[in-house]
Amino acid sequence: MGQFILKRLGESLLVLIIGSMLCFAFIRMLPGDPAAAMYGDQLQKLSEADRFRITENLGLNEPLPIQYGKWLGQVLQGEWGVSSISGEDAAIVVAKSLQPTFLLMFSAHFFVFTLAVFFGVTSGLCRRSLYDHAVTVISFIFMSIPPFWFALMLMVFFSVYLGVLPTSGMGEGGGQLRFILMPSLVLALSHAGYYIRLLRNHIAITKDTGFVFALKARGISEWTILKNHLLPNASIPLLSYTGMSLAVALAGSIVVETIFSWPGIGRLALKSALAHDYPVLLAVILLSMVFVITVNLLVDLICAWIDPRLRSQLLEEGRR
Amino acid sequence: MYKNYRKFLLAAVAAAGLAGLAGCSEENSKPADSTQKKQLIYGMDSEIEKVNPVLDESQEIDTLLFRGLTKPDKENQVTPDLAESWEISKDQLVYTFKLRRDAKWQDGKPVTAKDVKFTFDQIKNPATNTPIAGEFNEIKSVEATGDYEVKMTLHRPFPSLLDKLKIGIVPEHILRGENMNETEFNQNPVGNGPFKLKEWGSDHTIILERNDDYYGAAPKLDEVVFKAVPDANTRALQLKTGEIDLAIMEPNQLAGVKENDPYAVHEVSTADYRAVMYNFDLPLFQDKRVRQAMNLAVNREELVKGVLAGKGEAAYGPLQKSWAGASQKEAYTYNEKKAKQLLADAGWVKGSDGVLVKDGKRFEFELVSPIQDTVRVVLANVVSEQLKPFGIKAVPKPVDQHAVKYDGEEALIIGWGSEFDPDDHTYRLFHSSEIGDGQYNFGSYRNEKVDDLLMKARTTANREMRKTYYKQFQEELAVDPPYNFLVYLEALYGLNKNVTGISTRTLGHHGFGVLWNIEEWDKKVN
Repeated sequence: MGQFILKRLGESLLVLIIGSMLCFAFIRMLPGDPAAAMYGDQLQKLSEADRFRITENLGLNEPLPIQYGKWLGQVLQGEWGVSSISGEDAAIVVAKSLQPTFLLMFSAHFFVFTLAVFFGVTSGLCRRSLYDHAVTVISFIFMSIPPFWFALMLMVFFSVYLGVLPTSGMGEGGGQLRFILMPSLVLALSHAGYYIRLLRNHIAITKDTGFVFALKARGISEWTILKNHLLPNASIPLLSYTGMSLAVALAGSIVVETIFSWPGIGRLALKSALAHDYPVLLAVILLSMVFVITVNLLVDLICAWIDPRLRSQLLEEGRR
Repeated sequence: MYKNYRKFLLAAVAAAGLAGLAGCSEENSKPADSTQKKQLIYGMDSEIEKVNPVLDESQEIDTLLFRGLTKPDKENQVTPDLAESWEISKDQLVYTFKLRRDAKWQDGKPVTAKDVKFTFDQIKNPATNTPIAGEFNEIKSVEATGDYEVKMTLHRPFPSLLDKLKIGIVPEHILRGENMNETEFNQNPVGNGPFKLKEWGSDHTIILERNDDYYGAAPKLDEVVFKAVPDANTRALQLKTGEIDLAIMEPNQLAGVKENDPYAVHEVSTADYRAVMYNFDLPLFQDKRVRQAMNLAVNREELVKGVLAGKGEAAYGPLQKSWAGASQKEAYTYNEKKAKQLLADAGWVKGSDGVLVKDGKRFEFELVSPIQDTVRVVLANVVSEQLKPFGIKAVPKPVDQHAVKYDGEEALIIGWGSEFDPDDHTYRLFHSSEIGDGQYNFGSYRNEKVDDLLMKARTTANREMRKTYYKQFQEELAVDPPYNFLVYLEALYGLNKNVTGISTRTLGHHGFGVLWNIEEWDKKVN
């Protein structure tokens, strides 16, 4: 197992280095530069001399490979550079927006799993019933509604019409629960459909297999069959899918965070991309990569822990 | 088997409902003191990253924390602020300011001449990454000639200097030796204005509280909150729910405003105009008659109604909002017959495809607009359609704002307009000495009469004389147009009905400056 983890870590490092190189090159290809961003809608006032001066002040006049080398050297020493918009340490800027995003991701996935397990299992067990069709139709509706529109509709209903939830912001302490409800619901409902479909199909297929009939024949209660056999079986594809869809969820959070003024990593990525704040943007991208890679590694490990077949397969790979 | 699931479903729904109710009851038990405070909450379209007037001029928060030597009044005339009085030398090159002695930094230290010198030295310091250095190019040197006396020497006479000196002064004793771009001061500012920093939240929400040591009139509000609400629709909803008191709005949101909403929309006029700028390197635009014809071919009322949803004004020149404005309405009013006549006089004849031709050349040019600015893109499209029946082919070309070459395009939709001294956005735009990098006569417009009048207006102190010069200047612009002036924009501010104090002062671009008279703002609290 240790060998397997080591191997995966080695691969991850390679992915990170290649990814950071690509990002470094690609974000410089975006039209514009930090000086232009600083002038904003007064861009016409930016003279070539000032553009050169500011770019030089930020150390961006050197050849790209040299800049990359310097940046990598600093990053390896834990120096992420300084934000060109706020002048703050990029690591601190990113760290500040991590907690809100984790909070949002966590509560959204709490909803996703609750919905998925409940509706996926029930509709899988009652396949082709009216209930199953209703769940299918409703989950398709939520999958296809654009999140920004859905978010506004929720705001109109809960904040303007009922007046029970704040439209946006993050709040503090215990009050955060009210602030996080709508954004996580929007994120959750736009994703839950995929999970529900996945689980439903898996349950529906597994419940007709021979071993389930055999268990039933032995008089094992249906609840026990579900708890001990159907759910663990279905959890493998669900977990693998979670690992894959996390990147999508992170990307989707940009829209939700913007609409709900949620000060998370998605907003930060968008903001630093628009402002050409390279140190912060690179830190955000790299961090998201680390996050996605780590979660996928964890998912593999958990799956191996649940499923002995996968475990032996992984151990086999590790030895090779 | 299914019965079990039904019970589970029921329990889940009940639990969710309870959680929701718990949430609601929390709302009702809001702490009472927050409603007693006179708090103005401003919903902004972007987060405040740093507060330092040296680094950025276009943030409303600056005026609340930092005050400058002068400030504008309701009519955009210069009035004393940190400077109680000033003298201007005969040649208009030396300004001597006497500072008031009762102004203090929020740490108790007095505001002195040293701070003033430090501020302008930092703006002009090449190591400072600031977009405002260009505004103060004319300043040669700033000297502290006493604790409370500042001498400013200019390269050339610069009448709008006093307007620009509203820029906030920063404390030398805190910032000396600091790297201006990265200092912690930028997130923990110590100012001299009517408000001071109370809290800078991790979500970039900034709370300011009244500064009781402020030398000027005490503000009536207790707190001003700057909150980022990046989405325009969310801002409109928050005005409705009362979560924010003030926000800029877009014309297409006005339809959603109802009589019984807690907020009303204020239409504030701005000096911000849009125009078609011609590139005079192109032979096509050399003939005055052609440009006069294009002035007459554009229907500005239609632009206001169609593009700005009625929230703006037809433009008749660059100084419409200034005391020196002398409207040349006739030269900019749609007149089909006259326009066609002028084009015919200039020798342009319609070709087989309906486009004008002269000496084998077609009347065709590209009309560039920055793609990020929807209003400019739509203006380009509509102007192009309006010119078409005259046989003028203006091809709209929206490009990324970073790819716009301001001095290299054939024609482009430009935005200028200053709420301050008439010299501000005229001399720099239309004087022939202002052609070149870092200068704003992008189209290389040259007119000796205009040069002469602008120079005279710039170097004359007598206001009536200046007014005459500017009148002649505007008349000449109508005869030999550098731009095709299109429309003036209006800023739309949604403001809670309990808040008073918003003024009708003409604002700058994008409605900047709405909080200029924050001391007078007040809020009714129940």
